[in-house]
Amino acid sequence: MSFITPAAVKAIALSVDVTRLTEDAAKALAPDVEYRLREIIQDALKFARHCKRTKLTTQDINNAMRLRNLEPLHGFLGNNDPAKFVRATGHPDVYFVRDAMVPLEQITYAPLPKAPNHTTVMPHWLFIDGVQPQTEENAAVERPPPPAKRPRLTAAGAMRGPSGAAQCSAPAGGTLGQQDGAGGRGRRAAAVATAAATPGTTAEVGGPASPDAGGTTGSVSERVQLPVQHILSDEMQRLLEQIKQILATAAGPAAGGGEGALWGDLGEPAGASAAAASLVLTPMQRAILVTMQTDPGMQQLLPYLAKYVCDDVAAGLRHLPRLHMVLRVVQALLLNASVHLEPYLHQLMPPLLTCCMAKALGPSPTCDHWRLRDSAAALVAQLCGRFGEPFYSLKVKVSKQLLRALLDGSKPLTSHYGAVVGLAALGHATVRLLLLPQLEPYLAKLQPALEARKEGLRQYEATRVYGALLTAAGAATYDKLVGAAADGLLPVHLFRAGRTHLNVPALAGSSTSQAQTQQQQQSSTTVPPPHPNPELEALWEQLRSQNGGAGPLVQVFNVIVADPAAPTARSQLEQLRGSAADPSQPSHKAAQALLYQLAKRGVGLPTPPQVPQGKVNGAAVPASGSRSQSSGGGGANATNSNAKAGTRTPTGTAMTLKAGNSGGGSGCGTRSARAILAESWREDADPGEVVWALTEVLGPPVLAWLPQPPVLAAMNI
Amino acid sequence: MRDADWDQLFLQFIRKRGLRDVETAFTRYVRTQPQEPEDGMSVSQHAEVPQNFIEELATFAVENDASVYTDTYECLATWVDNSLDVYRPELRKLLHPVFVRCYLQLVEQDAAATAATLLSRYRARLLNSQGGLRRSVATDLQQLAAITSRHSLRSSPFATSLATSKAPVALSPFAHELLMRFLHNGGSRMLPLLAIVNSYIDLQVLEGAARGTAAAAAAAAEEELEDGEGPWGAEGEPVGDTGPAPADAATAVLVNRTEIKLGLLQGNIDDLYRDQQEKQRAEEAVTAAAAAAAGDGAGAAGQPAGATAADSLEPPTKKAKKAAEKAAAAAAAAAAASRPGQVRGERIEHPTFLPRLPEEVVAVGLRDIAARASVSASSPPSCAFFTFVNAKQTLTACAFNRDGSKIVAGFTDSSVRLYDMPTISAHHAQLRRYRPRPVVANGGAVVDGAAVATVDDEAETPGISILYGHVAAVHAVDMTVDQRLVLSGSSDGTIRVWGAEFGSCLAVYPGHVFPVWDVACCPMGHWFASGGADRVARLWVTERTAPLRLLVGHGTDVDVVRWHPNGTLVATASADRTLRLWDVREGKCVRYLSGGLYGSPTSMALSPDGLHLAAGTDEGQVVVWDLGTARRRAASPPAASHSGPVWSLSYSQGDGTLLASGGADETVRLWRNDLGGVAPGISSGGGVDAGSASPLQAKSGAAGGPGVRPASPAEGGKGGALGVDGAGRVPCTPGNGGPYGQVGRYRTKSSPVVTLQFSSRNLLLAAGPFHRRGPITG
Repeated sequence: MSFITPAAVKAIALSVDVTRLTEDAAKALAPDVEYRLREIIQDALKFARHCKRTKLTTQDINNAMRLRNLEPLHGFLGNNDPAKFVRATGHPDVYFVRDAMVPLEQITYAPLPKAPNHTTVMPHWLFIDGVQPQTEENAAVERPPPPAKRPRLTAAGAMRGPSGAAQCSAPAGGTLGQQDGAGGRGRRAAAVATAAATPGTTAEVGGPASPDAGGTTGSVSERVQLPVQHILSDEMQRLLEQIKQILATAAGPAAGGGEGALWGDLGEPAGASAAAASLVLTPMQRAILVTMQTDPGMQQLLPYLAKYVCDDVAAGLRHLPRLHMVLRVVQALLLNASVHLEPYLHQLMPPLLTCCMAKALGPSPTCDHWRLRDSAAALVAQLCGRFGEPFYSLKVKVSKQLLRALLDGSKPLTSHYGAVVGLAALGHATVRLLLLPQLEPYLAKLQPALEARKEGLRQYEATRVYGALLTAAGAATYDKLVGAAADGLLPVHLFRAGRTHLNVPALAGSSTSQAQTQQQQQSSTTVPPPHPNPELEALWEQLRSQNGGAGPLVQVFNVIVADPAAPTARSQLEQLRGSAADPSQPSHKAAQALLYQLAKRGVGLPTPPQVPQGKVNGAAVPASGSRSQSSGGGGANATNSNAKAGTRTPTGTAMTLKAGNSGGGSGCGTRSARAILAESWREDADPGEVVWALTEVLGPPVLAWLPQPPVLAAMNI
Repeated sequence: MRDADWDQLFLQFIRKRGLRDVETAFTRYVRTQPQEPEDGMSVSQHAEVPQNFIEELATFAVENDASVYTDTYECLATWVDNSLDVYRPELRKLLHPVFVRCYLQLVEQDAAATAATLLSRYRARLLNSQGGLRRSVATDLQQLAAITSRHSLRSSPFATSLATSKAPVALSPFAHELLMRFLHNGGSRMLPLLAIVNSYIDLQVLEGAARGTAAAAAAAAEEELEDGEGPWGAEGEPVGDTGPAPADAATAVLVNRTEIKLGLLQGNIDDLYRDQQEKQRAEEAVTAAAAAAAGDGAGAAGQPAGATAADSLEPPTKKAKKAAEKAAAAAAAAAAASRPGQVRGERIEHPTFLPRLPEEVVAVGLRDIAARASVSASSPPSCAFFTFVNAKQTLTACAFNRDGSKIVAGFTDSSVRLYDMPTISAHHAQLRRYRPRPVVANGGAVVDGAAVATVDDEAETPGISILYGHVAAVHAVDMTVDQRLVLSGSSDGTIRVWGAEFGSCLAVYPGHVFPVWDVACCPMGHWFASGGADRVARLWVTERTAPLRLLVGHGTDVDVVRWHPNGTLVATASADRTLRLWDVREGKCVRYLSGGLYGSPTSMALSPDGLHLAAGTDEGQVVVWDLGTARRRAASPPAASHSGPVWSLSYSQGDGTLLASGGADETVRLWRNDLGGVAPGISSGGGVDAGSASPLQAKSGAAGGPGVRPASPAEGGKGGALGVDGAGRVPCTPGNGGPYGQVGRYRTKSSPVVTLQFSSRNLLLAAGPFHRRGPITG
């Protein structure tokens, strides 16, 4: 019946460098060791009992050892984390405590722990004339059920004889009695109220402290959750049931359909059909959502609805329509003016962020979960915007979480996408502050996925992420530029000429993906097709018609198009650009037009053509003619690597950009794109530099996001 | 040595060791084996015999004398006494059978003198450690004493029955292992003992999942049977009382038959108060009678006694004076009978070693008695609970002054703290007023995170004085009766006395070697008692730093020390599952209470009339003894018991009709005490099933017999052990809760109840630390 075996004694002897312990010695020592151990435990139990405790602590053991004139064990006091036992290799029953090496500086320089709270006494009536008043001081504390004990540890309890068994059963009995008490008080409402007790309580206790009180209650050890009684009328209970049922059944048929399709088909169409079905709301659903937006009574149901949101997201991660429905519910509640979501924010945020950043949403990775992420991100941003005032840390926390997810390389690309979208939704300032500085390192990591040989899901996802990044960065820069331009600080030539409209953000992803695909095929970067510019188109038509199709410029054009990789073509191109950039030259307008056409065929120097200041005027050239030329042949897409190498040097381009600028300090020219982006959030950041750096990092497509001069002109006026 | 000699010696050795099977096998082997001449074969056989075995044989041959038995028996007894607490009761069961066999062996060897020594030593030991002999043991000893020669051994049926039977002793596996190791490691010296154990004792090792538990339960049950008591111990008689007439005087000298005076002191406060009342009433009656005699009969209608007097005084003539006297006597009797705070029992003279109570204490006491609420099962008390917040697991002990306005608390951080409740409450109220919080709007001082956080914003709460001086955890605190001194006992082995007013340490009493587990102040002041891990309780006076009495006798730590209300007796409870009552004057044990305690006692209380002692165990059980007869009177059934250690017990002031218990299971429970002065036949009929008693049920049950307490005024005067004896005859079954039915059970929020105390006005004061995570029962 002994717990200390000779093998254990030998192992311990080995651990203290006694290697020559014979079997007999171990056999003789084992019972003695156990007897001493039992003695110490017996004394320690006495100490525990006289400290009015029923749990043995390390202090008790030390006291017991001191009682027997033994050196107490050091290093076990005061740390509350239980010792982690590690099994000794080769001995099935020998465990030891892993002793971590702790540098002394870490202890000496560690900040002093918080002083413990002052012990004080608070009186209250436990019972009056034998009747216990139902006050908060008497309400039992809700406790999680004690964790199941491991069977091995019960052996230690045997030491205490019958007391061990009796006390094991004690907590169980205690909780039972306590539940009885609660049941007596709360009647049937208690059944519902227990579910909602937690949110209600945190609302009461946490109050204005912080929205994430629920998150911190677990860590604060002495926090009490008062069981606040929340009585819900019968009607409301029925309404709640109805709401849940309808929202669920509405998702149900669609799910059924999806599953039916799944039987005979691949996952993707099934998911798509389900997704499509989810978009169509039944009249009842619509009515409910409208009710949620308008009915002031929703406040009553809020705790339950918040719980519904949590549960539904947790349960329906593979079910897109359900998630969409959840988002709609939150949206509706948000729109309801008489509903105060504040106390439940801490409950609503995690599910929304899950919808935004979950690893996998929907039945298969190929289904369209992107849209769900987009709308979840928008909703998060909305919540942050609305409650950012009272809870100033909300936005910070959310954005921090998003950023962490983005920078976590172990997370899948889908999560990254959600993080980017979420950050983008939080506003341009957030993007500039958080996203842009991380852009360059992140893209470097993303590059392999983008350039994968095999077109697969991962590449597609990477493209989506790239597109999202592009959108976010572009929009942020656009915002900045427009703002700067409105202040009159910005030279117009920074912006792409010939842009007529801004792409709808949703399309950006697909367009960039196309661009990326082209890049993949050529395995080199190329000039993106420029945005249509009717002015230059018209000029080009003019040029062609002028000389009967054989003017010098047109010939140059033909030469270049014939062999874009030839050195002559390159020199001509550079020449053209030179003249195009110089407004003083008479032919610069024509050169522009020529470059434009070349660019339309994907030929040219990748640097954006410089549009001279003040010369571009939307009204100057009447729009005439139509786009007659065919979109260039596929063969014209080749780009010379020289051009790329030559123009991609940071200094050169930066200087080019800066040339048109107010002629700021040339010292900045040597800074890397990363450094520039890291500071792009500053008010005094140079927009030109930022644009250049973005182009460096994201490639030319970002230029498509920049505002067009007419807009600026209009704003200037 | 020849082969045959070896055989002979070996045979003897086997016989001595009691290995009968081996013996028969060996004899058969020797008989069947042909006598061979000595050849190499047998030589090699000799060589195979282990050297130490031969040595053992040799020493066995040499030391086969009488003193071996006495020595080894002493050795075993000492070993058992020093073994692990948990297994000691089991191992102790072994002692008696082993002793009996040792004795018989000695007689067998014609060593009657040695045997007699052994017997007397054994008896002395029993008397010392157990305060008396159990009936069966006493019978055995008697029989044994008669056997003095080999002849009587042969003729005695007792001895033959012993020789043929094996005594069963149940042991848990580890206890068995311990025993075996002890016997085998003792070498050749232990051989006789080993022989006895092997041949006469049937060691039943109880296997099972719950090691120790089964054995302990079995042992306890056996103890019960041996006691000859039912589970409620109603019909049990003191040991040796009804057995065959003791042959020798020693058997009759039993600790529990010592004469003790359990009555209260003459001139105690209750009596003083009663006297005053009587005097007052008598005067009133006299004046009323006089008034009635003067023809103004209606004037005395206010007083019931006066009214009866007035009624009996209808003829307003010359017999007026005589009638007035009669009325005064009747009024006095009525007052004596109906006075709820009245305490039964005879009074004893005030001993010289006890000081008189100071005048102011008496004055305050009288005031308190006048304002004292009468509590009973039908009119339960109120309870004020003092929650120690932020105390985590450091609160170890706590004591209140007479009205709960001051609290002394001991902590594991070696500090003693004095809390002045009016100041603290005012401070909290002020905090609440200036910082309205939503929590407060919900109602009052709330024990929760928010409130705690707000309180600790203040660097220092006024009204708390911290007394530093101990160097280890404080385990016990108490206040003297005049509320001027605070006593504290600590793990560092010292007791300190502090002035309550200034919070300074006045004296250190370094008597205990090991931790002091409990201290208690004498109800008359001047004296105090302490008990600790050195197994000794000590009696001190405050002006000497050396103890005046050492109360030695407990087998393990003295866990609880309490004073008898008359100040001449001290009760101690020990982890050896016994309770003892000691005489202060002589420092010797006068009562030995054991049996029926499942688990070691953790708390104790003596009833205000000094007749009963209640003890709570770490199993949650509450057991009540009658001190006069040393019999157990009641024990809480497991269903109604606490589900953790009972940390505190307290009788209500005055007549002690209620017993309150508080424990680690975070409940306060009230038990009605029907033993005092009430015919229990009535109450046991009205008793409720305490097992399932919710407070309401119990209350209605108690209310069902509302006339219980006032209905028997006559027996109150009888008092003493006589009345209790009469009560004891009534069979109490466990089903109806017995004389101690549960009245109420009240949960605290999340605080184990460390201390309970009825204030002098019968408000129940309780205190405990707040644990969010609930009972630390693992």
